[in-house]
Amino acid sequence: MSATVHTEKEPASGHGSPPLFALSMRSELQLLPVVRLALEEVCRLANFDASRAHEFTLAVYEACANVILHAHQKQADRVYRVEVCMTSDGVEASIHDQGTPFDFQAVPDLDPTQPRRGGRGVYLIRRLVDRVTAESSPAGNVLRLFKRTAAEDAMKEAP
Amino acid sequence: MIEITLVRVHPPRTAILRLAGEVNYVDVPGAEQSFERIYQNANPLHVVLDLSGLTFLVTPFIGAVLCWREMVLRGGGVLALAGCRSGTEAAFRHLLLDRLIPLAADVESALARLPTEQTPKKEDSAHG
Repeated sequence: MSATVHTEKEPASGHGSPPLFALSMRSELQLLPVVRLALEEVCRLANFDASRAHEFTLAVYEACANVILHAHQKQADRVYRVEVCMTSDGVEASIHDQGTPFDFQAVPDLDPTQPRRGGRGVYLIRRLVDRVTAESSPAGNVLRLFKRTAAEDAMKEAP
Repeated sequence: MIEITLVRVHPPRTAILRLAGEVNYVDVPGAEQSFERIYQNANPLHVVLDLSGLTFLVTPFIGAVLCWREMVLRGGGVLALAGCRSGTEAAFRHLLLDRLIPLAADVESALARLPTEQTPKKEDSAHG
């Protein structure tokens, strides 16, 4: 069984720790605030400041919306799963779905300033998190989003 | 859920709208309808959106704001944003919206930056 792995920004760290929690969600947009509330609490546990927490939560929220709208085509009976792990250097959320394979890396960065309704989710996700990894296989798709803690950011930026 | 209300009309024709709550995906169509209804009823030249009460937004809402900007531009006016919280402001900046729409710290700052309304042509022609 082959899998396609696309990584942007940095190589995956492979934390290997069990998830803090896993949510199985029906593909309904009106349920997305449940994911958001859970993520906000994890960000608090990870000592993310308000801005960092908002950025990570929004990125995961947009990724889940993409699964509902595109991978699952708004079919509410389809289920996707969100797993969240805390590591020593940040928080990772992985979104698992079994919808249409999605090549995250192939999505172009459309000009976000053009007046159109949609098409900004991937652009924003790329800028809100520190690492994006996408995998597609016959078993399904996994998108992993990782955001570093402020302390790790400071270490990365130090000369 | 988001609530959009017309707070006041700043003379001569600047509508100040307050947005409060959060904009999830399912809230965007309602927000669009609210804005368009208020805009048509108030018929302003400029519009200032007071976002100080907005706690969360999603990307389709940003698309809606850009469409509102186009609507106001077509009428000869300017759309300005005021009072963004840090999280919402980050989304606007990451999506480069701050290059198109002025982000002011508060409503009064936004009003101060708006272009002054030109004298209507009818008054000009009265002199000639």
